[in-house]
Amino acid sequence: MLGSQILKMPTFIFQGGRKANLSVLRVILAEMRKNYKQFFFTYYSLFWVLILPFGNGLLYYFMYLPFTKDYIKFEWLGRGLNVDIIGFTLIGQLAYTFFLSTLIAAAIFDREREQGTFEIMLLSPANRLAILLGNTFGASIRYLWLMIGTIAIFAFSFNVGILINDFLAVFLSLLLSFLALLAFGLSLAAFSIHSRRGGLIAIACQEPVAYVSGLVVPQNALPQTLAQAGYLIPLTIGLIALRLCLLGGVLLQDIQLLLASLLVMIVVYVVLAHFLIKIAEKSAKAKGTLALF
Amino acid sequence: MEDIVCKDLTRVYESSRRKRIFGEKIVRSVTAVDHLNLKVEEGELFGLLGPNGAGKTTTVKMLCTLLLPTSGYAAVRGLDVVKNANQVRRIVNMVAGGERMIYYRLTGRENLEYFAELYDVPKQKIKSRVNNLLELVGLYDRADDEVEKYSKGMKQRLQIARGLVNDPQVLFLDEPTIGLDVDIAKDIRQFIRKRLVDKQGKTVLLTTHYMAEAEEICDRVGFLFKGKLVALGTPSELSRMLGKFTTLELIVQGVTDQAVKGLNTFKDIEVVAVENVEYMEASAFKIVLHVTSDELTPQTVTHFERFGAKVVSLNVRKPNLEDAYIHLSRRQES
Amino acid sequence: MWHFLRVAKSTAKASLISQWRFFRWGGMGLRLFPPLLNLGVAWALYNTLFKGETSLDFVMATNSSDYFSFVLVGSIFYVYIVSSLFGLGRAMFWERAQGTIEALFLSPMNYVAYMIGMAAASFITSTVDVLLLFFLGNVLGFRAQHIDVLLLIVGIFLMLLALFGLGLIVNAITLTFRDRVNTANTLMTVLLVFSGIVCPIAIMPEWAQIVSKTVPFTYGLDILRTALLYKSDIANILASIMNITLLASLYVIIGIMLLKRIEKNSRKKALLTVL
Repeated sequence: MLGSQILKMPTFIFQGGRKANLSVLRVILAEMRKNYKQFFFTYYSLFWVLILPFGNGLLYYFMYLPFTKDYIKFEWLGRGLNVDIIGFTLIGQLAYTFFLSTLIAAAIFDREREQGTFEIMLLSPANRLAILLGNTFGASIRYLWLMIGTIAIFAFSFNVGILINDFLAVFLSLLLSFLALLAFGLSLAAFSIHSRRGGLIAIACQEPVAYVSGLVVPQNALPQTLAQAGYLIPLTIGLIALRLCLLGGVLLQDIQLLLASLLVMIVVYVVLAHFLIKIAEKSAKAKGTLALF
Repeated sequence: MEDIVCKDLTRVYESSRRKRIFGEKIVRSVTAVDHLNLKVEEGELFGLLGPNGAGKTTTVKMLCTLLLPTSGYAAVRGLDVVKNANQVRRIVNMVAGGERMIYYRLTGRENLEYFAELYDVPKQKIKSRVNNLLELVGLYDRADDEVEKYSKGMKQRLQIARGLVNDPQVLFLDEPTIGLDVDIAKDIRQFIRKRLVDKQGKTVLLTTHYMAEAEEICDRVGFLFKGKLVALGTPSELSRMLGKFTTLELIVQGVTDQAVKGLNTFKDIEVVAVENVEYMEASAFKIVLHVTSDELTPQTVTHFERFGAKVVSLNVRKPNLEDAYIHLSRRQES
Repeated sequence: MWHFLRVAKSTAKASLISQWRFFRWGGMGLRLFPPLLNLGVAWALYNTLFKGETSLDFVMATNSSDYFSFVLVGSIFYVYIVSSLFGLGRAMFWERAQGTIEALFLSPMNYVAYMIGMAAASFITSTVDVLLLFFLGNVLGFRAQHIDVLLLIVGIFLMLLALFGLGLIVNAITLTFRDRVNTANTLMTVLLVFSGIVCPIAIMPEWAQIVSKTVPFTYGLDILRTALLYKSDIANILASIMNITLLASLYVIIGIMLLKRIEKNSRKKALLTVL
């Protein structure tokens, strides 16, 4: 039953047919434009948010200074690598910045609810998943330039020890990490519909996720329970894959398991988002409210 | 004594934007209030009327020190609103329409107690005053519920209580009944007139664009149009400005565009409004006209019959404030 | 004078009630997560990754190898920084967002009294968080070498004064630039980096040390760590006390000036209700 529902998903989600797909694209683009105009409208905010990821990156680098200035030991599946701290921190910060952008979509729905435009959005015939995707994607695109800025500032300020032996591995790691984080953000945004404090809950996830994902400290240094919990989050898997192929020079075959995990996560989180939306709509029809708690 | 005085009071808003990044800056100026001269006597209920954007709210905000005038002078009870702003704040208060200016997460009682502290109400008086205000606005039983759970009408009543917490001598009411049910709006109007003005002798400046509201309770009204005061007087004086007009309200069935346009050929007939209505479960039109003489009344009926329409109802009345307002607005626009 | 105190007291009370009703216990979680992250990372780095071995530079800078205790004291203060930036720093922004700012500006209240009230509310909620953090820190391995109570009180007072000034300045920025979250978020990170919360100033790169010297919290943390962790030369501490007093006073004066200016500008340019 679940399997057949999943198989029907692409048609079901996007209503099938070229015409329906075009209208979904229109909704996505409209949400992205609105997202940009409403929440990213001043030069002032551009200035501040450029400093933020750099500041975070520096913070994590400074946390290592009381111990060492050069390398740390990074383990994966019994294999240990000495990786450059700056590179370790920089990659962590970039992936985390992107992850934060996906959280913003959930927070955006809180603001839409405050303004009274949220219910209006869902009253329209626009595809629900497309609305969520447009918001999540819009927020992500906005943060893309932050990531570029962070790379530029770090590269200017420090010598970053990059070691790449397989560019295909890097490309696939980047692409699948990006998509998996997007899917995760989508499901968080879908979850946030169910609560009037959904955005707050999503924002509250920042620090716990930062910790268990190995953003600052490698997974091998975390308490075991927390490290295992971290593997449920795409950020963790993405960080391991990116660090291995950007700093450790590993090849594609060495990270196949990681890439496969990211692929599975993409499917799982998109399906989860779809079901969360359905539950919300069912609740709305039965009780007259989208919020379940 | 004049409680409110405005002399050449002016407020200009400036806004700027760029069409593109690093493009030329485009500055736009709007004169919201234009050399306003106005006096409101002590104990008077003064109505400030006008369409959206006329400058009513801007005037009120300047008088209660929320906005600085661009030029001119305004005083409340002899205190300059610019130079003596803090003293003015002690003796005035403002109630705005809508659901703002109260804290949703506090209860009704907590809201009033907080504002009482801000207004430096003597500590020993706060409890009794808050209880009295809650009784006055009919919220005593819900005083300890969070404002979040109040209905729109209740929030508005709480706002009125907040506006009275410092027992102001001068009260500004900016569209206080907007969006409220008819019966609640009526209660609030009667409360303002009978309790605040007649019994307590407060000076009240009320802004509204419900003509009937102003006509019902105001001692005097002023019409603001694009920042200028275009008329001033009692409601009956202003209605009598159209003295030479009589208002006809006709309900006509089977009327055509041609028939209505044909009325323009009559020199002394002004078509005020045409709207769809239902009469005896059939579709009809209500047509409101201003005519200069009573002789035109039968001529109007004949005109419609000539076009095959049937006049099923006719009401002849003297012009009211709404008529005066519409007439003035059209004159200003032309 | 009495009116001033009444405004401060009633504002603190109203703020505490509103916060509790909106956030309930979740608010504590939200506030504690950032310092808990620092603590968690410090614990993992010190105990698991580097197995208790800090660098010689760290030992020379702090006369101790206990990195976890070093970070705990910093994290405790970080709690106050976060509440100052997000609580006090966005106080008037939230009033505007809620639609209550006009009601405040209508009244004859003193704005500094209002901000003191908001600061007091932030301080009370933060102190509860700090006590929890302190308890958790003790469970995870915090060891106070000795406690100099008088120095601790002086240090906390001066830090709070500096935070009050910072909160006033951030409040002016968020109100003027209509900035919901960027200023507070970014300053929080910058202060975390340059105040010496996670790393002694002496072992940071030179350019970072220069920046740190302009941050009053650097000196405040020095006082707190001396009070709780290790003895220091009396001349050094006096210098830190003087530096933080000067900087804190400067922040407060600038903050009050900005507050008066934005109040006037809001009325002049009709920006009071513009979000």
